[in-house]
Amino acid sequence: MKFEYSTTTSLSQPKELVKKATTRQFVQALNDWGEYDYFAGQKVDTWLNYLDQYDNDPGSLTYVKDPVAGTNYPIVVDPTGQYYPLSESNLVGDLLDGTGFSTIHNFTFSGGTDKIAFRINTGYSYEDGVMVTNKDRYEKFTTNALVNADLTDHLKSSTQVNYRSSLRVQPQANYSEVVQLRMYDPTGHIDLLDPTGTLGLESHNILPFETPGNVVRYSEPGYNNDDNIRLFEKLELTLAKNLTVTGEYTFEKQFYKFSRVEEQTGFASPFKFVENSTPEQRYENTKLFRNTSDDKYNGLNLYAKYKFTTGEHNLNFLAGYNREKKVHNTFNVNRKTLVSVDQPSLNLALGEFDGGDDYFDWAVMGYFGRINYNYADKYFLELNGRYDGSSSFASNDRFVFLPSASAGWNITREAFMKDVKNVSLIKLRASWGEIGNQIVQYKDPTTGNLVRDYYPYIPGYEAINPYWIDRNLNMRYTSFSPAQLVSGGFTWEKVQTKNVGVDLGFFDQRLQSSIDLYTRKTIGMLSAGVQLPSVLGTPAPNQNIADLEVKGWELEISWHDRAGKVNYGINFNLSNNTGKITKFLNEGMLISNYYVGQEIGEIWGYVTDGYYTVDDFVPGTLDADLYGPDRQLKEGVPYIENAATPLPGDVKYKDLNGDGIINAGNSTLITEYDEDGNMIPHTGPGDRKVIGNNSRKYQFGINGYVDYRGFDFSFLLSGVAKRDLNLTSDVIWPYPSDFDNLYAHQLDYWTPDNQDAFYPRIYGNPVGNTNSNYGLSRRTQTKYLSDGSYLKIQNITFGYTFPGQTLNRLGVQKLRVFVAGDNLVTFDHLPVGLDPDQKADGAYPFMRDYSVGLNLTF
Amino acid sequence: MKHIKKIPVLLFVLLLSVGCNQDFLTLAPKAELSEATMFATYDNCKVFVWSFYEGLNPYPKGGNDRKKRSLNDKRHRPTIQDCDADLLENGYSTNGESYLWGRVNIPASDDDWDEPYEYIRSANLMLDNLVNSNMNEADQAHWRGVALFFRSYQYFKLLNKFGGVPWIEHAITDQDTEILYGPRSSRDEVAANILRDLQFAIDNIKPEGDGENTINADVARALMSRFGLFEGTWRKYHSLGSADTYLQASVAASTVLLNKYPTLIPIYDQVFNQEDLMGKPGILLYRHYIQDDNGGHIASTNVRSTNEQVDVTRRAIDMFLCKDGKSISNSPLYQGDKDMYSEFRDRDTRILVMTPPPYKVTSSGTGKWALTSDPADAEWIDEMARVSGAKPDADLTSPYKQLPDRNWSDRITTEVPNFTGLLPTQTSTGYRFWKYFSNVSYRTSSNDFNDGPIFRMGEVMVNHAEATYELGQFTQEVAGATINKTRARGEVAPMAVSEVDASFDPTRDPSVDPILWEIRRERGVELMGEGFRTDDLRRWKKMDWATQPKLGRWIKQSDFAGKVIPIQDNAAEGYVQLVAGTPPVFEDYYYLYPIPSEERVLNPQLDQNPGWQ
Repeated sequence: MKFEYSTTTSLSQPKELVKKATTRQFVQALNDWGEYDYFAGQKVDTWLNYLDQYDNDPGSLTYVKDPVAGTNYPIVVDPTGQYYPLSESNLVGDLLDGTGFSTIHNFTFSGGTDKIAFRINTGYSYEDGVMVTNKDRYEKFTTNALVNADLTDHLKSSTQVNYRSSLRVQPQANYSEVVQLRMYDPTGHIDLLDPTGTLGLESHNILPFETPGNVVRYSEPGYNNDDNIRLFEKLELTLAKNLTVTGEYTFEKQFYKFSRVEEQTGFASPFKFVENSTPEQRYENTKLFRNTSDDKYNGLNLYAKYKFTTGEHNLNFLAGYNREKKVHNTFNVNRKTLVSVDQPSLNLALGEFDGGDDYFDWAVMGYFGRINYNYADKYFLELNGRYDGSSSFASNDRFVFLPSASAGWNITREAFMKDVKNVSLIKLRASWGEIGNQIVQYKDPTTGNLVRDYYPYIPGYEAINPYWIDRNLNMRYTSFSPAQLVSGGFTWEKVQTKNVGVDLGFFDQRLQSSIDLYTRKTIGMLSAGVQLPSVLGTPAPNQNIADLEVKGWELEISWHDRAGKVNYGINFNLSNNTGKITKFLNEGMLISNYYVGQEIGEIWGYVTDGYYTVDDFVPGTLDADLYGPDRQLKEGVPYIENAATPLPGDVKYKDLNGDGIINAGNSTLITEYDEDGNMIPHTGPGDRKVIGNNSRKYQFGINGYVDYRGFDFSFLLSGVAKRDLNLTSDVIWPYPSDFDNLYAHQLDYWTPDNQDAFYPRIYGNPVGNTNSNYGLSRRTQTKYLSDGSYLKIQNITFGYTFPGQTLNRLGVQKLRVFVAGDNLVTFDHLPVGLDPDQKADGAYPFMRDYSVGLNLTF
Repeated sequence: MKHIKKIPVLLFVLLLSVGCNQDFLTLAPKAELSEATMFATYDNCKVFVWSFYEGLNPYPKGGNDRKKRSLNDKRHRPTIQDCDADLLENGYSTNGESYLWGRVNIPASDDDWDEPYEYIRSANLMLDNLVNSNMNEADQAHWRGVALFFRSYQYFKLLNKFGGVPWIEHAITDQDTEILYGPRSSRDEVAANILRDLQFAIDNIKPEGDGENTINADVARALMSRFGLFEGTWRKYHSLGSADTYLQASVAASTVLLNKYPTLIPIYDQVFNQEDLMGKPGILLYRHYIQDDNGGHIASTNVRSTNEQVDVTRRAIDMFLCKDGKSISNSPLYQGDKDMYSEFRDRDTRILVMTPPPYKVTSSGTGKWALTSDPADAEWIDEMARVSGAKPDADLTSPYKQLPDRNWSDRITTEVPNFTGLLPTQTSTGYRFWKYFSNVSYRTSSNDFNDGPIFRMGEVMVNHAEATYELGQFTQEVAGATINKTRARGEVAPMAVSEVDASFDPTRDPSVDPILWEIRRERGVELMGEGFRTDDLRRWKKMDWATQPKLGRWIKQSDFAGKVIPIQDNAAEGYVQLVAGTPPVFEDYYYLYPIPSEERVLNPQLDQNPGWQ
């Protein structure tokens, strides 16, 4: 009998946070951009005056008061009731309480007799996220049992039971909101009847500001319960010598439950300084959501194996049958107007019920066989075949045959290699094979996410709620959207891979390496629709119309050795690939769609040619601020077609097709010419070309370890050597709309006094300036592509294993303690707070974890 | 244990029993309907048709539709559409509208091309499947009529913008390559088909429709009234022939409606500013908005926030008659435009619904205001409430327009004209357009729930006046049944047809008959900001009215320290002119918009409208 216990406790912190500009920098910027009025009502010149007064004579101002904390906000109210924030607030600190905490415990006991062996494992983990309160948390309980038994001499069984139960509590706020909020939005409370606390009123209306930290504090989180049970049984019967028949059966059931109360708290807007809802609205609009879903999975494998050996010839045969099915059910209901938010129950609500359900299922079934041959462990040959069917396809297109074959030659086993020193392994490998993909996905137009279509060949009218109100029920009607078009012959996507490789070993395998070259062809891609004329009125039907070819290579080198009592090793891997479309129906070569020859990930854009400068304009047509309603470009200076005349500080693009005008052509690859060889206007890609590629190129990883007298150390690095990113969030482009923010790295913007700036000229009130030059400077272009390459220190671990003799006396077999750091540092080229593996707006901060733990066996 | 030997037999039997089971892989969705079921019964058709209604959008909405198209873009904002014409100006558009300044790019794709064909497909699916339903002939004809109404509505949009387009009569698939890659149908064919289909709709849709606020024969007539006038006058002024066929169809439809619905909501503001238009006189179809279930709009929010800053132009302000029924050039009541307080005196009171009249108040915080010591500053405060029917109180319980003007969070605009005050209610040129300002959704932002009219008798009346004029049938009697009713809501004396002569308005475009000029004036006033004006100028072939400098209020730069307000000819005192210069001459080929370039790449048979390349 053996007992093992391990535990790890970690602290996590955001690795880096987006840094905002200061309030003064922001207001100064508004002034620089010629914005008189800020959208929330502030006059920019008044604002600057208040800022000066705040810096020079803060005592002369009356401030808005936090009636709960008893402190002043750096905010003043002018006589008309307009609020002027004068300093920064700590919005991030108000939401994140410094560190997240997690702990994991695992307890295992195992043992048995020579006929029966068992292993029972129980685990518990708890995680309190970085947000304030413990509403951001996750709890998980697992138990796994395994029993292997020899029932008779000919019959073996293996039984597994796995159970997992978890609860995730999610606050109704997220980190990206903190990034988006303006630097000065206040975080505490306000008395809306007497903001400055100077009126001495009898009545008060004290409300928290609607900032993410307060939203976490004052609203109920959502509760996600997930229970999962999995049963696995395997019987293996020996029918004759070397002939076995095996049956495996898996049953899995997942049960998911969700509950959330919506909109129950009164907040004050941090920029409007008004109540977001009336108490009556809050009472009426409280809503309880309940949602359950369950998934049932059945899997069956039956197969026979036969082994045949004669002399140095070894043959293995396998043949079998497989089927799997999954059924999903969802049920959701919600009801408004809770009598008491502390008792969220559907029965204790007064409003109308609303709800729905969802269902899907899928099944696969197939036969498979394998012949495996080797001669003296020198020559290897394997042939595989599968015949698979899927419920995703119509009955005539349901099955696919997927063969594969591989061969190997271990040269080191050859007699002539016997005397070659220091070479321990040379093995050549080659393979060819096809695998199938039956998962059809489409992009959900409302969310933009890829969603699986479980019945892509069955046209069905799906329920929708159009924006038209049922006067009797006072809610939107239910209606249906037309069925999708379905095309015959739509079937499995095949992925055909050719691979050649070599495994090398030297110096008694201390130095090892493997190199692979491969070509992977995707034939008849699913989820790639041909573009049809819009008069069709519906998206094109699914067809296997596109082929993709990926060529790539992988290299791995490692060194493992011992020097005295020091064991050490290091491993390096590097890979790269390039994908190209080899078949697609796009005769017009529209670059908005796939086209033959397109490289996966390519980015089309303009080539930046600096900014327009005074020299580009006819003298005398610009005023002192380098504006001018009558400005005129000099003859021959390229300009954007059909746009207003640019101003100095606007981005100038290279005129790639030489027509003097910047445009996007007709967004095709084909530039047309007339009989005289002149370009026909509005054909081809215009002045755009491929300016980058957002695929990860030259991905690499390095890991290593050293151990000495019980001490051990290991590390893991990973990275991408080349990648272009076209990021468009406000963290990249300063102030894309007047509701947006300004970040510390965005202060180098063009002004008449700073003409070498990194960012082009910015105009006040950009949302309104519908045809200012603002958006024209921000087209996808070479200068503002981000470099997405990086190197990441993913893990460093130090451990110590206590010496055996000491422990044995205590009945302990093994005891190891360790400290580790995960996600420690990333070296990249992006603005502070953005991680190359993350979306551009920083949805959740990337966390850095420090952990300590122990492993104990007794 | 002795049974163990039977296990292989058992396994073998199992293998056989499950091995070849095709049914295992035949699965079907449980929450979707088949095409046959969808159109099997009267009630199922009714359910399907609700999705057509959301194509009728009087007002913009926040967010996107199911196809990820914005519901708050120009396509959904009649106010912004009208800025492409002469009566409104986009105060943000400091370089002028592309359409007026000859700067339209041929788009790669165009929602105005794609979306109608999606609705047309839905309608065609229903039309194709009705014959297989279990309905009697009358019920089938009813649904055929309703589907044709919606299909016509969408084809009319295409015809309006692009001229002749591919006519798709049935639901097609990707296999129908001849249609898919076919040429455009002619304008004649598309227009004739719409006329045919709308006539079928009028004749076969049940008079009572399917209950409150649904498509009935009269709604179909209202569309015929609009379409017939559009196509008839387009043909007349673009010299295409057969104009009278369409004008007569318009007149016939309008005539029935005028007899059935002779009354209008007496207060103009209350057409656009009601929480519920159910049962209101002269409202044929409206969109009902609610606060819950994502059922609101943002037309009012746009007016009250920085989302939009649209102004009424000088040309439009000068179009409003005086209460004696005379133009400002001739009326003794007119007091000039230099004094802001007197400019609106004795004018068509609808002017106050278009733009807030001038006033000054003081404010000490959200929702709080007081009169100034100067009574002149308060001249218009009571008058505004009288005209809109508002009963002012501090809680704004009455939704109709009242002063002072406020933003979305109920902050007070202390001064109109507001060039430099509270930002969301600022004006660029002096006459802020606030027709869609509503206090129904007081202090709620982006969730307005006042109803929006889709077909109303006010429009049918001005349609009828114009169509009868074009047919030579406009009389004093027609005037009495039409524009004298709409004018009455502005407290303007009735039009005496016989008194209208060349001298009635000396600013008239001399190529337009004096009576027609007055009919068009009334149309411009009654439908201002509702998305008709650009199409009206296009069908009259009068876009040159819009390619002139747009002017605003008469101001003195010296009154605005710290902010430069552009004045015509850079004068120290004069009319505000936001966009410098004069637009180029309006090119004839701009009367039709370009076919999106991707469609032409996909289908080389799809010819571009002449002039665009």
